[in-house]
Amino acid sequence: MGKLFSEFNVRANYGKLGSQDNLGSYAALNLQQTYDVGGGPVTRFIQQGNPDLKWEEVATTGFGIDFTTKNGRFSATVDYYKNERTNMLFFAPTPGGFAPTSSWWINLPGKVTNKGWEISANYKVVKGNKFNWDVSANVTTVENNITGLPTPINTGAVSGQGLTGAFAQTLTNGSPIFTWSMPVFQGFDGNGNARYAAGASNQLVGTALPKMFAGLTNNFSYGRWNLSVFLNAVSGHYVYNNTANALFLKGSLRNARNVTNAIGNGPENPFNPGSVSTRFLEKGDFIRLANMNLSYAFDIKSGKAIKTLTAFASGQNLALFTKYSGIDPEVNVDKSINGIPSRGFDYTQYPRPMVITLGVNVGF
Amino acid sequence: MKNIIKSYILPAAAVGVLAITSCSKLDPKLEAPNSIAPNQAGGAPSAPSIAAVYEQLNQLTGGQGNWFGLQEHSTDEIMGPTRGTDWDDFGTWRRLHLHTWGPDHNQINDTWNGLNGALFQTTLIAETKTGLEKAEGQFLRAFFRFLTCDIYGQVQSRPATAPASAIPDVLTRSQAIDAIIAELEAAVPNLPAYDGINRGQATKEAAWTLLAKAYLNKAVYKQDPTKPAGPYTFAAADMNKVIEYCNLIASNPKLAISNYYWDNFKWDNGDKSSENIFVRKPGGDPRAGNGANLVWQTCQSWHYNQRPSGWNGFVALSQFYDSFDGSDVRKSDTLAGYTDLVGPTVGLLVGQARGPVKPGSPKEPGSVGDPIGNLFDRSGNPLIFTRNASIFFNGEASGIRVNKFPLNPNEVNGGGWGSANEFPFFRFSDVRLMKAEALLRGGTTGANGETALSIVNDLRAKRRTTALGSINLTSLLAERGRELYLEGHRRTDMIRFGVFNAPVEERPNASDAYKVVYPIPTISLSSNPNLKQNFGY
Repeated sequence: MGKLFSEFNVRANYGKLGSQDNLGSYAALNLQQTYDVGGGPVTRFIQQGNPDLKWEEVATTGFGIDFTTKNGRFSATVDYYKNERTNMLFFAPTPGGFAPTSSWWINLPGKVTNKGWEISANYKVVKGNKFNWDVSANVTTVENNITGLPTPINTGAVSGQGLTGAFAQTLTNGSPIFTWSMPVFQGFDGNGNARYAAGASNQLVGTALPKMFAGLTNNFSYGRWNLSVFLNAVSGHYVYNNTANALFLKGSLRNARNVTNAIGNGPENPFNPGSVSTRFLEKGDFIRLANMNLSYAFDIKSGKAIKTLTAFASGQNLALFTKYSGIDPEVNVDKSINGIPSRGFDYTQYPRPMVITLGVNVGF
Repeated sequence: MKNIIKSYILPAAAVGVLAITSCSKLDPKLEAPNSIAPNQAGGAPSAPSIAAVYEQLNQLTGGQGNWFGLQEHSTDEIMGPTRGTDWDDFGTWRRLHLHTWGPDHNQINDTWNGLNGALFQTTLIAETKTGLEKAEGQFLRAFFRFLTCDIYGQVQSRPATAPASAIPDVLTRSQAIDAIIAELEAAVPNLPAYDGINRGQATKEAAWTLLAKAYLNKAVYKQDPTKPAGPYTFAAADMNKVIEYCNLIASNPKLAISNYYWDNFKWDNGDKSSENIFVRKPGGDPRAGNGANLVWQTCQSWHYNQRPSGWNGFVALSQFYDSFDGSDVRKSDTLAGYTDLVGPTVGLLVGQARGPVKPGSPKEPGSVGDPIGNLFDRSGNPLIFTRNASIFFNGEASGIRVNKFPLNPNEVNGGGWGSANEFPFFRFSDVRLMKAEALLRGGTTGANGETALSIVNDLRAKRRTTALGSINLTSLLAERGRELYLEGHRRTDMIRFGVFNAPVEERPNASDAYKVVYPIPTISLSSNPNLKQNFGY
């Protein structure tokens, strides 16, 4: 070992953590409300409490290794993790709906498992007197699964005219959380009306949860110059383009609203309703040039009032490489239903800005 | 860098880093925050005020969906046509009209939750109070049980003292109708007589009307659940009970068929109607709580350029429109002090739409106070409501519009929200038609010299239309449709008369017989294992 590595660690961990973070104040209690309708105080019974609530628990298991090679040029960390979440605090249906509200807080009998690998590595490609080049990379994989849910729970409200009550996401056993559930779009028929597979019944069609996150940083230095470039990538998930579902339909054009050129010239019948379907579900894979920073450190003689002086130019969100048709696939507009969280919705999201900063750092 | 990546991951994954420090044992109980209410968590709650329980009725009169949608869109009265990108609404209206709903239908789910919330609340009053309040709670529970029994065929029941986590028992349809009748009969002695003023509360007459409905529909609810669409056998004894209760109601001198049909629905129907036995008022009432406004009854159907501006939605079926005689005031009438200010007639609207026109801009809608003229659609074409509409594809002028609850013209410029229309759950004309039906179905005692034909023709005379020469069940059902449309009765009536599954406009084929009962929502089937899915689903 000593011949190969200057440093080698092996780690393992197990832990259990309780929490009630999901639970708002008073959420476990019976609540009454008193008000006046003109004939003295009136009391409403508005919330059913649950005296049996417990903390939810996350059991975490992990192991990993860290090492640095003998020459110090390559180091890496490899971790495996597995989290099992049980007794999840969940705003779930009341027994038969026989209660003041259709849902209340319970500990869900199901289990959500997250497992995967986290790998990061650093390689000093060039290590010289004047020129240095470092590469850092990391990858995280996520595999998620739900078991033991008493019933599928729908979430992910789809917004837009003529879309009242529509949803697109479901939590269901044997699938990752935030699995998309909707009819599969098969193009338009001769009249320009949408065709759907399996009688337009809902199908499970991928998840909003990415399978992989990755980052790559290159650091270059040459004398007093320094350049760092950070790229990140996310893949394996789908994004629901609710913006297109709500606004970019031939019928919107007919109602004198703006649509994209492709829709305006497309085959869709203006009377075709914009039902929720995979027509608006897109792969969310992307690579982003997230950050780039170029700087120059001036040579300051000692004894001066100014000790250091660095000029820099940096940019964030400089480029995005994706096939997603909306503005940005890295988006998560809240579309929860009954407090059940959603994920991966794009709906009239304000675009992520590109930021370019020029500056000088002066140290006294 | 790792932290940046991390932030994308769900909290569930992020805990991986945080949870490395172990703790030996977890506290199994939550820390409860300080209580803001006198009740302890999860214990049996103290009963709410009776006014808060009356407010459960708002779910029936608060909007165009749920109970009202299930009762009307599935019938031969109205439908919700899709208009391009408008009103697709996940197919929720279309599925009701086409009878293609399933246990995941959102309105079927929401109506179930609403009715069961009401059953929970009314149980607290019916089982923990005494005297008048208890009787009101019993009446209200019986009413909500009747609606639940009618729509879902299964009724949940749980004692007021049971903990919240206790799984409710389930009454079968047959058990439910017996329980409803017994509870109403127990409540009647403690309820006040109807005096016109107390129409928003439980009265003897309201309880008797519900009893008459219970006996009239009993054969439907006693039917073999595997043959839910009949044919039904109506027992003479049950029909005699219907007549008995209808006669008791008719003996109250405060109740009579109104001389003018629209007095029962227009904005001052609280003062003008002599028929409305049990209503929901829109405003605050010390006994019955805060009610719900009926603007939606207008807006669910009206075009954008009418006033108030509607949502351009639902339409009456042309075959329903054609079931009226030309002179029938219920089909259409010019209402003085309304039509001259707002534009439309009352009833069903076909042809050129009329309304206030902006002075100097003949194609733009104006406000009440502006001269009445012909209206135009949003593209500038004359707005002419057609007789027919497609359930799938329509322009904005398709279909016959409805004006059942005319709004106060003085409130229309403000959106109609101040209009005081009351929604009648029970009307005296319904009671009269129930007696006529019971006589037709073999009732033998208590006719008091009346026949089904004489009752119907007395009513038709008040409605300014011609007398019928004869009456049978088919023509009686048609009369109930003309008299009671958009009041939430139609589905129940069509089922009792055995024609609910028959084809109607835009549903050319008969639907499956089991559709006469809606399914139990999937979510509730799993949260209460005592519920069993209804036959056929």
